[in-house]
Amino acid sequence: MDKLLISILGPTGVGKTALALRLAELMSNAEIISVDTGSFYRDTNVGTAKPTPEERLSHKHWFIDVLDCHQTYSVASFVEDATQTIQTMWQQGKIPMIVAGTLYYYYALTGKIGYANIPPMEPVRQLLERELNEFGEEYLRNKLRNIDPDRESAIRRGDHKRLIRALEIACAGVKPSQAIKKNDLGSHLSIRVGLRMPREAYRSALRQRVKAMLMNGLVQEVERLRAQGKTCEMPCLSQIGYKEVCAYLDGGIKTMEELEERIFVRHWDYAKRQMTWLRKDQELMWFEHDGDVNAVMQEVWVHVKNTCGNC
Amino acid sequence: MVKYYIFTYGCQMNKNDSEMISGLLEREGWEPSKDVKDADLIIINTCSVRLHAEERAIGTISALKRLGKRVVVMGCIAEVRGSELMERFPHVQAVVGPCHETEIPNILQGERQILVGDRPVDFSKYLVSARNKAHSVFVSIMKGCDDFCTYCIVPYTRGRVQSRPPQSVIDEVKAAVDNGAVEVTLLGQNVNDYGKDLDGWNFTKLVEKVAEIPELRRIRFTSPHPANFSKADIDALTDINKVMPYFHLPLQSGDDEILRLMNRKYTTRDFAELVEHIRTRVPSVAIGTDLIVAYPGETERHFEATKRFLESMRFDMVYMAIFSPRPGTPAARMVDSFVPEAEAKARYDELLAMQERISYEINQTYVGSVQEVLVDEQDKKSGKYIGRTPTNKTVVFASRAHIEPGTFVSVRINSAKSWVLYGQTPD
Repeated sequence: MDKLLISILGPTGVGKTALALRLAELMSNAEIISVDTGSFYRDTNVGTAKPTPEERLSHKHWFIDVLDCHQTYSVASFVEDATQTIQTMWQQGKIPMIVAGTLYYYYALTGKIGYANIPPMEPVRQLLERELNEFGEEYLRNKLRNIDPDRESAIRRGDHKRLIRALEIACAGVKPSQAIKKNDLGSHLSIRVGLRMPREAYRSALRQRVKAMLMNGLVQEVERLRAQGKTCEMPCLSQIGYKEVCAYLDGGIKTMEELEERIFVRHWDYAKRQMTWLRKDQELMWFEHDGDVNAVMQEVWVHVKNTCGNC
Repeated sequence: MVKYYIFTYGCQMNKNDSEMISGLLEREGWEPSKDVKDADLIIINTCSVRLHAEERAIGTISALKRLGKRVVVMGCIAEVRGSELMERFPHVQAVVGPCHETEIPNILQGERQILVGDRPVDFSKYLVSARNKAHSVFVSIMKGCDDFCTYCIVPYTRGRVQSRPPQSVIDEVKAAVDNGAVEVTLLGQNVNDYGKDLDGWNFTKLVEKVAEIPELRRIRFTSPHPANFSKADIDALTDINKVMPYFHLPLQSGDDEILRLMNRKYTTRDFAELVEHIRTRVPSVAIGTDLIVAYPGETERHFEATKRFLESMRFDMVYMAIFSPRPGTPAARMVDSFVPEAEAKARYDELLAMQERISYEINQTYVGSVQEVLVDEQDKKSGKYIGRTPTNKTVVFASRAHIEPGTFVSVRINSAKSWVLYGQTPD
């Protein structure tokens, strides 16, 4: 059996999930691997556009609703777990279909970029965050420069996330610039679909989506989660859209109109960053649709059959 | 029974051609297939207007090889790259140019064929299209284009203007109306050229005849060409009350020098006068346009002129595209004066932001009004209805009563964004 891997990539809200579900209907043995940090969290539903429970019943989905609000899934653990899942699927003669919005995780999983194979250590991280708050960025930079000047100089000013991560790795006794590992899935055949829409149609679809999230009770969802003791500092409420709702509830954003606009802009910026990743990907086969996901799906299916006749 | 599937690339014209071919095949007893996998024949209706669409169509043709399905290629690529496709892909049964599409049902038996070139179109075959949206239909009134705008591939891929006989147009609209249509959009590359090859006919006369069909409520058309859209035409068209108060008038650039380079044959002043005339005749009219951003040689100065013109025209809707060179057109040879991609995108973004503001402002004037909306569909997720006003604005609205697509309802507009109005039925 060919180790076929199908990937469906594209900016947020372009219709990846719908495409994957219809494609899976045509292929009896495909299962969907969701690479989307938003879908990891069980508590957040309205603002993440996960596949519905019914959709998840019709085809097995992996990596949806796997985290509690306070947890994070490091790229290293995710790559390890997802690799295991994919290998098992191949052994069972199934076709993994990756649907990826979180492209850093996706490219790490497929070995395009390296990642540090060191699990996060929460106490160390908390300590570093405290130091950052108390002494500032330069203090941490000096610390890192002494251990690993190459890594230090590669981190952009203001990128506290990477700075802390590098020091965390250093604390594990590994030089950060040498802790980078490239994953190898060992896939024999790969079909990589890039999905996009004409710019204007996409913009208005994204606006619609944000509007729908608010109409479907995004604000109420956050209120409910906070009533259950979740706080806006927790990772699940720091996501795109959720952070803005927190600001709205705490008075930083004054009106619903402003909230909608702010969430839209966050999505739009996120989409732009995703497109920056995707434009660099020379192996991507692009498909454009203006609302008719079914027609694109038929086209993708033709390409799948062309690559792998017996699936 | 033969089952077929059609892949359609590109413009509304192509979508319409696909529906026409579907109608033709279904009258021959063929059956549409929901999935490619169950189809015996795959039709690829191609488009050359954008390079990406062309490459994608060829990619799909190539990928179909291993499926062992027979393929027919129609549309824009057929004329320009037909013989190349026949040579490269043995599974392509036929390549069929725009003047020969009505022959598709006959070419499946026997030899592989390549049918291209200009010749009289058999318009009688157009009678019945297989419609996706029965209440609102598009009807082709002509083929080809004689205008040779320097960026456009259509005159090369679709040949010279051929007007469809008026009776054939009217029969198709009647058939659609019998099937429930209340709105028709007449399609042509340059509708004002309609009738130039027929005795005693022109576009306005055709519209007058179509308007006589009793149950038809709304008539739209796209696109007129600003260079030969006369004030007399506008007077005649705006006198017909079924002609909706939305005019799509492709501007392409708001700078006279660029317009000249594009071979558009009008100045911004001519254009502004035309719009002024329409607005005087129909004060509540909405005007939409097409615009090409970063045409070769467009400098910052030209761009500023376009911006100023756009600001002064206050269009309801602008369909913008960054210039994309089409091999074989004069503009594609102006490689030395191509605008760098980053610059083009920045200009596009700037215009889009500006237009978003203008459309937003215009749409605010709808808030509080009651509009007659033709309902197109119900959104499955939210249960809301989506329809269009006479001025072709999209309206999303809630209703307690269930509404079938194709129904006219009064909707009170509560709020408005740049591209959509929101409201509710006043029950």
